[in-house]
Amino acid sequence: MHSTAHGESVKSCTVLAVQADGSEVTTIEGLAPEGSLHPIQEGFWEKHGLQCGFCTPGMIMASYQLLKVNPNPTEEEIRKGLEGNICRCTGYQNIVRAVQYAAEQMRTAATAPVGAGE
Amino acid sequence: MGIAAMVGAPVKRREDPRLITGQATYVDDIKLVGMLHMAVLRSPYGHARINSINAEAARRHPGVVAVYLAEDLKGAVGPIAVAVPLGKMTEGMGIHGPLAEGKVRFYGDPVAVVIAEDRYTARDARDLIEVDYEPLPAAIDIEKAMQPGAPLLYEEFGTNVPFGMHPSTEEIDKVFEQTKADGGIVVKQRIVNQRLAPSSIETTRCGSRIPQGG
Repeated sequence: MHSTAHGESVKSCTVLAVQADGSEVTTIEGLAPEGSLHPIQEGFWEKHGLQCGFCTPGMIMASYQLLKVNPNPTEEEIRKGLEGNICRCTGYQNIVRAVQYAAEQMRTAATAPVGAGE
Repeated sequence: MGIAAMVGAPVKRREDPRLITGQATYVDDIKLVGMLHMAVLRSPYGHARINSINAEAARRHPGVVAVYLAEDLKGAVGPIAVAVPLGKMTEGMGIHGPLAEGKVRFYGDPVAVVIAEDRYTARDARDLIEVDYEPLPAAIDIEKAMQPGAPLLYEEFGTNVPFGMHPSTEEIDKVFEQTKADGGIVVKQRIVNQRLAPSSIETTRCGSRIPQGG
């Protein structure tokens, strides 16, 4: 499972608590305020980017990091960016679509005129 | 959304919200009062005779509640159920208990289980079990395993083939004969179907609770 510590996407299973000392840590639970969804979460739901959901927190947090660095990734860049996150049931096609959907949503939100959006 | 509207249309799954917000629970999240953990010792060989098993150190390991070998389950646990026993299976071929007895017949065949207070103890104790194996030639190719002289998993049956299905093709043969007689072409094709083994999605572990009096 992934989380981001100080803006870097890391695997929580390979980071000791002491290594995260003093870091700001965001996990899937904190990606969006309670009762709402982050566009990436929406994308995974909308595009059927998950089945059992076991890999989903890692996929979403890795996507979060990817889109922060590269808001408009190509399919290849998405696949490269999520490399190392293994999905055993859905396959990666819809995960890529989910990230593309999220990227689109986030770009639209970012370019919306002031006052028109949230 | 009515059923008709769902056909051919993407349908948002109702179970997704908890899965995309980190609220889902998996076997690892199940914590029952007094829950014990099991570790399985598995065969490192595809085929081997078990000469002896020494589980004393594991049984004595602090935190271990029980260690079971095949002999401990005799009379208490029956064989693994087979949905449709056919041919030699009805005579006992391939019928086995949950733990290997006398022989292991595949890589990963369960040999012993350790029940302990926590998963780490269970695994540590499992590593203390000593098994004396005598490796045997293994049949690792299905078709070679069907040939005479192949290493036998169940020697007493003299074959690795528990049953075969050869439905009559008499009527079909006639059609082909006629086709050829009429100057048509018959195309031969060897078709291999993959084996399907449906199983739960979280296969590495399971949790269970024995109800009171159960």
